[in-house]
Amino acid sequence: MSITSLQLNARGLSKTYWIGKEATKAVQQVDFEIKEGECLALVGESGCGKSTLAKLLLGLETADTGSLSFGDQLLIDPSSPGQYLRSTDVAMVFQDPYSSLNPKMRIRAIIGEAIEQVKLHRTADEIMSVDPVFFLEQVGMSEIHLNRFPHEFSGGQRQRIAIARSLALHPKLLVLDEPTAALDVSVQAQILNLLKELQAKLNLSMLFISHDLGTVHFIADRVMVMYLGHLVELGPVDLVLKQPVHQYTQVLLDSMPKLDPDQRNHFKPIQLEITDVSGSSNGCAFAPRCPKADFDCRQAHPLMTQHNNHQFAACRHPVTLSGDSQ
Amino acid sequence: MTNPGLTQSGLLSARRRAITWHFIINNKLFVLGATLFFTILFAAIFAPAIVPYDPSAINFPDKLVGPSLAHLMGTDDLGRDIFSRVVYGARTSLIVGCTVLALAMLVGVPIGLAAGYFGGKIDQVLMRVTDIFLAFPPMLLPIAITAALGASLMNAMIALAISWFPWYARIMRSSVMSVRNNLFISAAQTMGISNLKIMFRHALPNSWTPSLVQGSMDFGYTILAAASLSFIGIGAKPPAIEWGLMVALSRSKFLDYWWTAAFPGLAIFVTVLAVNLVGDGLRDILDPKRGGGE
Amino acid sequence: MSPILRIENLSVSFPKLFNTIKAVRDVDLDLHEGQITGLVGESGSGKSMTASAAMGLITSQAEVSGKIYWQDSTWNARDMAKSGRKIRGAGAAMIFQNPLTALNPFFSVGQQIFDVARQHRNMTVAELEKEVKDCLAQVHLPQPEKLYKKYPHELSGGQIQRVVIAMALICQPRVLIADEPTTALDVTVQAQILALVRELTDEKQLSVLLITHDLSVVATVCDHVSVMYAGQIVEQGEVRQVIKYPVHPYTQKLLATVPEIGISTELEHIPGQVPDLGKPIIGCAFQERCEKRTDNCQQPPELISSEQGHQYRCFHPTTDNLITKPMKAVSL
Repeated sequence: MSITSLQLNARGLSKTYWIGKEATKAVQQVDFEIKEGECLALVGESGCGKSTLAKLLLGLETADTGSLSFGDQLLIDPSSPGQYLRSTDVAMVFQDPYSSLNPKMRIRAIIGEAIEQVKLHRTADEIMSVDPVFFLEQVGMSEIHLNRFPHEFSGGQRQRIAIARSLALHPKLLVLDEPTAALDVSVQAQILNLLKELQAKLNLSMLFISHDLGTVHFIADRVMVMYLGHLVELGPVDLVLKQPVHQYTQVLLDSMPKLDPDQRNHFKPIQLEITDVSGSSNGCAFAPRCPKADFDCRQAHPLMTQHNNHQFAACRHPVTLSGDSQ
Repeated sequence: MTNPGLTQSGLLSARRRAITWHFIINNKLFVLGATLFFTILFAAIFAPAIVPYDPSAINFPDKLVGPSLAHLMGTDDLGRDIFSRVVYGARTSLIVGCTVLALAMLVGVPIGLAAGYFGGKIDQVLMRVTDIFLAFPPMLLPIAITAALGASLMNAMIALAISWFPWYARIMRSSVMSVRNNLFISAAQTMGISNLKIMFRHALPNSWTPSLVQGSMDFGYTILAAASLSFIGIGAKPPAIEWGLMVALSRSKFLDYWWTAAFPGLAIFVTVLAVNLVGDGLRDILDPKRGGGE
Repeated sequence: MSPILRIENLSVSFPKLFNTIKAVRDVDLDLHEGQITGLVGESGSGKSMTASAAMGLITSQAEVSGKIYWQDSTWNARDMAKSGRKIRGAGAAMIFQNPLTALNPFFSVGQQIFDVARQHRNMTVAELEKEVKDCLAQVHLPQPEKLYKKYPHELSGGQIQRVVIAMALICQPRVLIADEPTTALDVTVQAQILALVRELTDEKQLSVLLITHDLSVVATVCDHVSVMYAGQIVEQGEVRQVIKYPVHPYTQKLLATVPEIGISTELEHIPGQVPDLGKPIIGCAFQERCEKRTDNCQQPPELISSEQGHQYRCFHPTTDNLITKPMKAVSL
């Protein structure tokens, strides 16, 4: 048996969407790893490619280039990236709890279906339980919920059922696409607490996609920031969110409303909006809106360089500690 | 606050009565249509017990007698009791409606399901093939098919099913295409479930309602279509008892003996009306905006 | 200074077959000139319903009661739907959450604003057109001349929301009600829109009611805040007071559930669920989920007001940091 640790390795993943002759480069040459038991967050705004990246990791979209492996198992072979080699090691929790559960199926059947799949791929001693109740209990629900239909539950409960369904697959990596975006803030807290607990208990690795930096700081160990298909910054959560390197990360932090009314002067909205989404120029994708962009920035895309302990960014004018950003 | 002396089960049945009453008030036409339809169904099923005469019994002395106590709807030119024949005709019409729809759906639904789910080339191929059948004028295809296969009620039904299935394929396809965007389909895909299972376990149960509604509305049309085919002589042939056929046979006589055409015609009218009311009502009830359905 | 808009005793109920759903219960709310008031609550708290009732947008199946004091007139909330057309457009305007569905895809952006303006303002066509372009410039949309002719699908979410704001402002309303205007937008776009609303409020001395579920937005942009739970206002006052020194247990818990960078190591969550609004609520609506609950919470708590205008509805408030002692009960 191989002693390769259960690590997710993604290299050079790319995906371009074509509408007629118009190309949208949704994901461009993204590299990252997720270590065993780690939670990596992925942040970015609409059009950054985070949803597409999640779909590539789960085989819901076909990659144009790149490789993906989990442990010693190859999920995307770089020589034929269009083929996705599915594995029950990777499972996904979706954003909208209202459409991720089949409204015509009872909870018992919904979780049962996942258990059915697992039985095909794992040996008996690897399977924790074939009873749906076991997984419901792991998310704080019980057997009285088994015979009901999804519409009888609230958003938070549905999301817990969706998590239970993913757990039934016995995954080693959970990809969560904005799992709390559609929920009230008090329910969000419940789900986040649950995820933290499950991560510790089951030594799960997680890719947590979100647009909310506060949530990311709470639940993730490391974070990566995407902008228009490119990975722009990557590093430990504390470093990236308190001492960002990339100008865009700084803009995100400045745009975030804070809960302290005395910190209003930290709120600095950027002036320009994204208008061009196809990323056709060769330069840095953020250059058109960046306060520090210069001629070099527009000529060639900056390389990902290491800036300090484990923090990487693709920027020629990193934010300095002296409040260089504005 | 609660009525004294009313038990838990008493309250429950009072509640059920209230809900039923509320339903009847809000869906009057549907209830009317359903009542009519079940009456017709009842008549069709229990025809032998209801009819006063053998519908095929020829009785020349009593031919072309107007409606009377002895013959509620009069007799035709062979002395057969029209009332008995109308009741037996209900059997034929209902069987025809069900058979044609069942055949059309059996072919159309899977085609639409596959086309909507897979999209791309499979969708293109399947839809272009069904378009060929859609291209024919409504009556021409059945006429051509029965001409080829020979005139009989069975062949008329097959012909109608062939000209009808494309509509179900289309309805199913568009319905599946919108269901397909739901995340539970993506979830099933990420779990590695086979496409066939996803189509039948996830897509179909969530997209078959429009086909059902269309079917209930088409039921009336199939009966009408079958009657029309019999009327022009390529559907049911004597000695089959079918309303359209009855109207056809009375063609030369009905100006003087109105009841020979009127009653079978009325039967067609009432049945199609009943079925359409049920269909419309069903569509309104199942309309998601009204919060209907389960 | 007296408020521009005062909502008094507003209640909205929906009678159903077996019960009545009380979505809004006895809400009192004031809007002042040049101030942004945040109306905060989770789903089902009744915040959107309150605003819709004030604007006369509730359908006839609802039972609405209460009074609205607007400029120099008093309206019965029930009649708002009929006279709503007078208040809307001319004095008060409303913008909604989803920018994509706010505009008619068949008409150009300029045309739509023009049509609204024509209803309420007495100007020639040429003057109106200029006014529309000025409005587009005021919301910081680039090249108003070109933008006038563009169609909604050619614009981004943030741009459409600015157009919607322009459309709301062209009739020079005194009051602007914004129902979750930035919820569907990205964080950088949200920041721009919030800054714009703040700027316009200050410039034109608007009274803004900003409905949101996001407490950080309230803290950043609002002057006053009203917190709603189960159809009632449980706490309201100046933003600094309510957010830094919350009095009501629900407000305290709600603030503790928001994850903040560098601050949250543990997230609180509120046990239990929002009560069923179709059943009669006995006493305090929050008691089932509250740690401080005692027997006297079985009585419905009145809205108490401190001298500084900080109001709360609780028998166990945390009043250590209230500027003065509670003065009088506001009876309804």
